[in-house]
Amino acid sequence: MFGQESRQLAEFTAFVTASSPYLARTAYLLTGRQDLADDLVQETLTRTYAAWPRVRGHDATGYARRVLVNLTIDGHRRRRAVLAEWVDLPDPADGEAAADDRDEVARLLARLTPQQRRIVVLRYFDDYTEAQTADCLGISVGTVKATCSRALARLRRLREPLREGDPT
Amino acid sequence: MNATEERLRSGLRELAAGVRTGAAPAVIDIVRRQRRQKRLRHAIAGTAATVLAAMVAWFAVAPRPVTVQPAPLATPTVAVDSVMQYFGFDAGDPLVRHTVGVAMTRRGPHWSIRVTDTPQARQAGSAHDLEAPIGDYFAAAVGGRLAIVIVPDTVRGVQFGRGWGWELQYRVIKDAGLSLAVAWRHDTGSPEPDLIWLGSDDRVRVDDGAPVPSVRMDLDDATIRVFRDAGQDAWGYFTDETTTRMALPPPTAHPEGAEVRVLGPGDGRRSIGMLPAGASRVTVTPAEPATWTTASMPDGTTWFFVRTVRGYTSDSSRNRLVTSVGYTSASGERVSYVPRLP
Repeated sequence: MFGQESRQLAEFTAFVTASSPYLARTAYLLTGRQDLADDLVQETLTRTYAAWPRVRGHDATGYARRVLVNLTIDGHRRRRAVLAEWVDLPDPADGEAAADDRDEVARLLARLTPQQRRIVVLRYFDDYTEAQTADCLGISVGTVKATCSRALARLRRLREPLREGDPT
Repeated sequence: MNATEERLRSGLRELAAGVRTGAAPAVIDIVRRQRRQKRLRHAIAGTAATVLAAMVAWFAVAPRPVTVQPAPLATPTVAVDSVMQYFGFDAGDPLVRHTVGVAMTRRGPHWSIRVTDTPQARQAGSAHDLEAPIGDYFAAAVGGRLAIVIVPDTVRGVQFGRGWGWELQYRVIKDAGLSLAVAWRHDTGSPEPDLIWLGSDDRVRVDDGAPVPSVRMDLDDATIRVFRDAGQDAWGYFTDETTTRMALPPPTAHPEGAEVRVLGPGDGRRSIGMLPAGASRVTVTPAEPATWTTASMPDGTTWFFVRTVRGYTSDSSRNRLVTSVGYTSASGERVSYVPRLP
């Protein structure tokens, strides 16, 4: 019995080593904060281990990604106060930050609603199709399309002043 | 893709590249600690069982009056009169596990079943009583978060046909000639699960219905059994490694004209796919050194199975293994296609 457990732990350790960088990046993009991302990844992997006997033969990374996304949804529902922290990113008027593309993307992401942000990250970082995004979030494909379209429109509007050197 | 999408995609990757990724050691420490706690609980339970066995033995050898009772009637369907099984579930908090006990006692032609749900060291548990006919398929919802299923067969594998959000565990109880499955509902919006099982007769069944069409494909020592229930628009597979746990393909995958990667542990990297109806004289061109085979189901559909020549691996890559598939159509025309990756 313990031999089987040891084998499962060895498999899980290999899975954690392989998947945690990717999960950490996704968590950061979803939350915008390194400390929250670390907590989310730890919670995600702990839950994945609890379910390891049934997910190890399946798509464990997909399962962990879905747990991660659900945790961010739960976090927004349960802790509205945290939402303010999650969007606590550099001010757009900070000219030094505006010069950096990475800061610009972070700042733009922070201006999206949590749902828009999740969809944008899944579609354009995880390369999910609209159907896969809908399945992961438990919403319809139509909702994904509409929300993504609104998010892109908002990003275009937000980017214009920055591009013209007028970050107001 | 327009400029905004392209810029967003590259921007996200640049942003993600600078993220610190150091959670792995902490997580491994946590799960190791959980394992130690679990072993300690097992050791305590084992000690308690030993003490109990010693007490029972002492009472057994102690002198007492001899009583004679008539022998019980023989039961052709069940070799045991009672079954007791425990299942552990994490109900959202991995540190507070629920223990679900299923006690089955034979009462004539029925199982009298008591299902208990006990949270670890916290609130009081709950108990539910059920009755199931012996020798029949039985499924019941218990208390809104649990479902219990009895399959009158020593199954070789069980999985869900639907019901994402449920966690499934099962045991094969050979002495009783049955399999006992318990499912815990994690997502309240998830539909009631229906069970797909690979029976001891190597046939796939959905719930208690008739067998669904399936075909077995072997490549050396690797075996996969693909099933397809066209009426329910459902399909899936059982592998050697996954016959004791879930093994469904992604819900968005449709096998026709596709290459569906078989992920998870296994001997070599594997893919399967279904050819258009009426296909014959199939040839598969792998993208790397691999062996392949084809087989036809009773419903007339033809499938391919490809496996790379490699040792044990746990595959999570979705890269294609198949460059192209050729076949002769029902009209005699030779056709070649590149299978899509769902």
